[in-house]
Amino acid sequence: MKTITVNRNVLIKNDELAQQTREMLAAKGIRMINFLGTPGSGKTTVLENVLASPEIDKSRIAVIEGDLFTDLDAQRMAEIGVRTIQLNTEGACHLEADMVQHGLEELDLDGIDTVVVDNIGNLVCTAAFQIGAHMRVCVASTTEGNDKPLKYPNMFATANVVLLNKIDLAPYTNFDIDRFICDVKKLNPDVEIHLCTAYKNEGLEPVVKLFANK
Amino acid sequence: MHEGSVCREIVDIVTEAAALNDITKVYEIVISVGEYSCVNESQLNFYFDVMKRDTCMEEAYIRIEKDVSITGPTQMYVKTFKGE
Repeated sequence: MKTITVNRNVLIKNDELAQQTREMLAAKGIRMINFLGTPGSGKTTVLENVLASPEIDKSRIAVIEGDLFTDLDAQRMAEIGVRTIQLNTEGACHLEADMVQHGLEELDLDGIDTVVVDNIGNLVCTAAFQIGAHMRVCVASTTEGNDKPLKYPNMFATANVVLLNKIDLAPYTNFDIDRFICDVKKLNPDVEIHLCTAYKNEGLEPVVKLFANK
Repeated sequence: MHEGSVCREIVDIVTEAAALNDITKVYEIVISVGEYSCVNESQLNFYFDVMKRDTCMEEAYIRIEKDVSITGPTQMYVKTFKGE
């Protein structure tokens, strides 16, 4: 009997593809933002309102919509006039680097400087699978309970920006906003946290700024 | 939750490493994971029991070891395996 030492990253194939995508985009002067969060936290509503803002040049932004089924979100993006493609995972709970690479091949990237990936609603798998993005934005909401950072630490530990959505509903829930912020900061001291109510277009200025300033 | 994808990669990695080391029978595979890897040992072995059929891993099982020094988005490594 022999013991063989391997020490190989289990997701190496995915991570290598993701790195290729990251470098390919950077060489074209494009940054990619991975939009993550639970189903119903408001990822697509945040995007809709941010992209419709007059400060955003919609011709420079493209969106990859990820969903298990349907092109409902791609239709929402098309309505506001943003170049969009829909990826359907047919049941898979996260996007992987190869799916995003195929999606990018289908997208006309001419004149684009920002690609947003509206990932599958999921706090577990989407955090583990890199897709080649340069930044992660995680959308959480007050109707989910403030314990999510502790329950899904990898998501909150790897996000660059956390948006806490549905602030208007907070008074009707037992969500503890200070506790939430404190738990996220403990996992990730460098993270930016912003509070918003996306459907009312309130508190989205930091995200508009992020998209407007390349 | 993504144990299926993870298991497929483990089978590929061990198949390749076993061939390189002239191992035809693998018995134990040790996966090293970070604190927040979100991968479950019994679920992983459930998938593994299906995927190991007709491979050099037919008699093997997967053991997970926690290593808090592993951080970042990818927190899973095939550390070692035993075989002959």
